[in-house]
Amino acid sequence: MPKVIRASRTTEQHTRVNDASAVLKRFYVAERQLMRITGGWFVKTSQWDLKFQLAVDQWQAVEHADALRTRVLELRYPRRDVDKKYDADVMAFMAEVAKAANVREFIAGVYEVLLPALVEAYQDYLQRADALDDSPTVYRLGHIVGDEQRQIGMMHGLINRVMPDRAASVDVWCDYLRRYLDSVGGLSGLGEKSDRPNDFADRPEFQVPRQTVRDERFKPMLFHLPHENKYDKAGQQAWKRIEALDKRVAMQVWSAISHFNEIWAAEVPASVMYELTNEPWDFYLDLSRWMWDEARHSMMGYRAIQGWGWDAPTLIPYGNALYNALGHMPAAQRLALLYYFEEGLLRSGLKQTEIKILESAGDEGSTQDMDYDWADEAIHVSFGFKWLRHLLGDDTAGQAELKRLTDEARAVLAEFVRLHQDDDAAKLAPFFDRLYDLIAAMTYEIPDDGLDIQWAPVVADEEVLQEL
Amino acid sequence: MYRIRLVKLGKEFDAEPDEVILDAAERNGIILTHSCRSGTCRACITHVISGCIEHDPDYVDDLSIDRGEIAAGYRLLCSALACSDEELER
Repeated sequence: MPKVIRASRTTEQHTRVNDASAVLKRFYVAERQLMRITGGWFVKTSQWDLKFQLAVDQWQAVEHADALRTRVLELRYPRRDVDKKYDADVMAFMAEVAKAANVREFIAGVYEVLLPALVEAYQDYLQRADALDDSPTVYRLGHIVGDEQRQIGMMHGLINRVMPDRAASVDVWCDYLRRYLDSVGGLSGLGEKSDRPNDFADRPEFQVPRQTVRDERFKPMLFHLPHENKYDKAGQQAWKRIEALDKRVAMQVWSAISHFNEIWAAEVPASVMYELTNEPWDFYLDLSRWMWDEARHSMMGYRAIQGWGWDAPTLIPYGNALYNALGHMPAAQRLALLYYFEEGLLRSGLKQTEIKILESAGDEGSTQDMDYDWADEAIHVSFGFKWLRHLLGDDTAGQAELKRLTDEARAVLAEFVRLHQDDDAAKLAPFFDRLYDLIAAMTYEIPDDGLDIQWAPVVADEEVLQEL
Repeated sequence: MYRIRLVKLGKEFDAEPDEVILDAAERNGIILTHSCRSGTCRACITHVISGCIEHDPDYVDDLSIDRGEIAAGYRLLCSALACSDEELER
């Protein structure tokens, strides 16, 4: 007869390595899909505060997904399978979450059903996990739980402030998603399974919008600064009045408006990573970061505008042309144009010029914002370089295709500007005239530091954009 | 010590054989356009008119520059070392 001594301890169910990797793979898939659909709904959402919150939460989702994916691979899970064979139930549930009828439903579905379910599933895992044997998972999940509890709390406060009215349909939607999730055994897949509800079977799959709409508190505008629209001579003259006050003042205002409008540069990678479904994991990791960085830059501008006490919706042009003019183009082409802009601006040395002028203005906040923006943009160029070569080919043909796509996109954008040159939404002079009065009243003298930098933004940027 | 000439700027400076070109320029009070200092953002990409300049072999696989660009004489100054006197299109 075999002989043993008693077990030194007992363990919970489903805690062996293969069980753990299977469950964590489901969690990874859920977070991965959460990142993608939140990015897609970020594009679709116009309300500024909600849009910004979705941006940060989608980036945290990709960080969570990356941590979980890393851990799955540490648990003898085959590398060749980690980004394949996604659990069909999890994928189906996440697709349902994305099918919300409007942003209010989407936010309720994510923050009242999905994220609480993820937190519950993670806490269940943590309760069963052996903190010594499975320590790396325990560490990572503990942080993810903290993040997601904070996300739920933040969005709860925000949605009640900006969209206090809650239609009955939102409760119907949440109830449906809960029943759907129950039917697939929960996010861990360890629960009982049953027939899936099909209350909303006739709803179409979510598609990332090719046209964005800006926050309704703002006046609809196509452009935000005069270099975008060379036909807007009145806007350029109005801007030059601001420049004439002092180049330091002009740079302070320019950088804030420019940063705020970088939201289009967040929308492009968000839409690209939603549309392209089968790229390497690092593609999503990089584009998600790119998206969040650009949303941060947008908030930098918004924060500066608020810091001056200005009412952004009435004073600041908030355009959508850069996203919408390219909306019909393939994902790689939209990414190519964004890369073209970012690489061109870095190679022109404009960031250094801008920072020097802001330093001369003594505007510590705007200087620091620009400094971090500069660091971020340097990363983005490396992302664009790497992934456009991946998408188009790392050879002569690939380079030719990148140039063709970029040239075509620039021509389409130039034609968009030409076609819309007389639209009311293309006329910036009223904004700059209103701003001029405010700015002139706020200016004060400082000692002359001998700043000797030429900065003519309209000309400088047109050189970068090559007369679009 | 190698002599580096920036043709467009009309400036010259010396660089040690193992010194990064961008750093050597800054040591001589010349600030060239740059960003990442790691060869990934392409802000410092420059055409070499004459002379020998090679990317740091320790990082050559991590640089954001095409083989075709290298063959055409382009280098990333933040990650490149001089191996002779040279003229740069800057």
